[in-house]
Amino acid sequence: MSQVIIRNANKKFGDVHAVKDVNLQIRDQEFMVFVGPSGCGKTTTLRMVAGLEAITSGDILIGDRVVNELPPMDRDIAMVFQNYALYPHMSVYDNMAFGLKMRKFDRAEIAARVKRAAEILDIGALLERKPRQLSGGQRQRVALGRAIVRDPKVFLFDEPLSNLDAKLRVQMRSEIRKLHRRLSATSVFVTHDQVEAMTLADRLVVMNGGRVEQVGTPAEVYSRPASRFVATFVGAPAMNMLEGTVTLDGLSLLGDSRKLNVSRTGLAVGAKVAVGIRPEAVRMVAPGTPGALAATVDLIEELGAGRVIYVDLDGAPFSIVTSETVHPEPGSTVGLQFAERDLHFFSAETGGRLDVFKASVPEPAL
Amino acid sequence: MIEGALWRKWVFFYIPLAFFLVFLLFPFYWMVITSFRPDGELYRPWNSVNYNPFWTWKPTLDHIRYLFEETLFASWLWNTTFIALMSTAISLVCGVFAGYALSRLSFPFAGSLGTGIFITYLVPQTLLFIPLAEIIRNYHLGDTPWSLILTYPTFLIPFCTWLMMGYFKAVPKELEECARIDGASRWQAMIHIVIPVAIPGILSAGIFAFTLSWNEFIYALVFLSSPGQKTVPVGVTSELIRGDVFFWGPLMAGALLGSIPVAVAYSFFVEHYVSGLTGSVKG
Repeated sequence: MSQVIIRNANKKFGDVHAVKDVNLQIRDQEFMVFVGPSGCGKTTTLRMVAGLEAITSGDILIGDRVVNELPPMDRDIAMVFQNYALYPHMSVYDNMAFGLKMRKFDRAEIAARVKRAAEILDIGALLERKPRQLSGGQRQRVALGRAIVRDPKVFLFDEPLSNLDAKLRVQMRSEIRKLHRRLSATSVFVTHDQVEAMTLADRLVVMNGGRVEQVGTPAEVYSRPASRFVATFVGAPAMNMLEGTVTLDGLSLLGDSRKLNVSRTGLAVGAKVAVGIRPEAVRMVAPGTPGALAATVDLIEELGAGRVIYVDLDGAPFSIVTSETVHPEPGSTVGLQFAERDLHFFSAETGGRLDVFKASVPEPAL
Repeated sequence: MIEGALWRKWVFFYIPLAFFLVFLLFPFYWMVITSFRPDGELYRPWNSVNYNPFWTWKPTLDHIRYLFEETLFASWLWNTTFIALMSTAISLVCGVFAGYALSRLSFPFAGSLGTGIFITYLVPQTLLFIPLAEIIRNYHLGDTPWSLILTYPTFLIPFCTWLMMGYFKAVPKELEECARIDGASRWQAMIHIVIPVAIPGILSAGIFAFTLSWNEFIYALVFLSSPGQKTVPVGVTSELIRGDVFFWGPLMAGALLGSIPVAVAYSFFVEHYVSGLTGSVKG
């Protein structure tokens, strides 16, 4: 069993508190993705698990063992770096064999393991080459191969796809997913790309400012974001946010310029809230439809299968994703309608989720 | 337009380039031609009828023969080679380790120590040879090659350390981290990964150190006295200038032969050396 447990972990670099009280349990064989904007502490947390950064306070356990004081070589982990960190003076074979040689495996065993890894990754023909003779995608495969030959307890990935071009990134993404299914090793993957995070993860850890904002499956995080930050960070285009005040019969939005009728908010009248609506949950209707918000069309982005329509609500930006064949003219007025169950409420002060419709929000079906 | 460009190219590129080439290479040419001219031509007055300073029709190897038969040039060459190689080796070993430590290990005062080492490099040799002479005398090393092998590192080690520090900083940290995750200790990661990657930098430091100690003059002049112990620069100038008589032929032949090993070292390593200077490590 090789679960990873992070208990009250903190990291300070001088006066900078990079990781604040992180508590996580990464289950055996799970593919866990840390996602967040740059500087959110996700890479630092990963490096603490790897043993490349000392822990200021707290505990990290791999398997059942506290590894706080253990050097990286004794933690039985493998790491894939953003710039691949292939040893430039060694052939692909030697790059993959290095970890086994350091651990005093015998020659035949090394050859067999490298051969097997090379087959899995389809790089058997490249074993004699030097890293500089490889393309970006091939280097990425070698870096993966170097990790899997060792058969470690935990795989750590530090933004391994961000140096690849868009097409290759999508391809490697699914290969990493398949590789994980095949090896079923506990994996931790760090990325700033929320699409990558959603597609790869068994569970996501959304981090911001050194803190964990939410832990959950991609579907949970998408449909029940725990905070305003998570709501706007996960999903593209980002969730629309409107500031407002709770009134007797619903909400008064955007400094009283818009009214929205909501049957029951469950919130105190006068409370300041931020209302979030996913662009895909907005329906466009004829202007003047009862209960619809009026907005002016700004810009339309054609995506082929659908389109993103950017509208303006008295200066507040708002986007709509639709697959209907509607092409409103920029500058024209449209009405916006949404179902009550698609509204997400967040506290205007803390940004935390206000679960007003707890009973009516269906459990994630994705 | 194209004609104009051609005209510009000549005025702004080829002609200045030719000027520079002549300016830089003429001393070398003068040295070569003087080494092969017979004495009769060398000491001919400038106003004689057949005065021709830039060319000779009667090349001779007399001066080189004179060097090897009448002076101790062969032992000077050997002394210089031995001293330069030994002091380069000592300085490289110290410089590589010190450079690694200063650029990679975090310990108190690492930054100020690095600056301190650089400052010692700035102390002029013309000042330093006075206390060093005292030390050499106390250890009874005077007039032996060891007096130079042990004093050249005083300026070579700071030089190598500084150069290697910059080079190690350019080696991506992830390489070493990856090696440590792969199961290498810090020492093994340095031996197997960081040093092989830094070979171009080590070569350039080595070539620079070798050249500096090969051409060094003032310590060699002060610490060595018997003719058989001298190095090429000191031997040539002290044995071939007698009073106010300059033996131009053998002097220039000695300079020529003395510069050949350095030129060979440069051209042999030039590829590594250039990539070392530009500090290119591709991952």
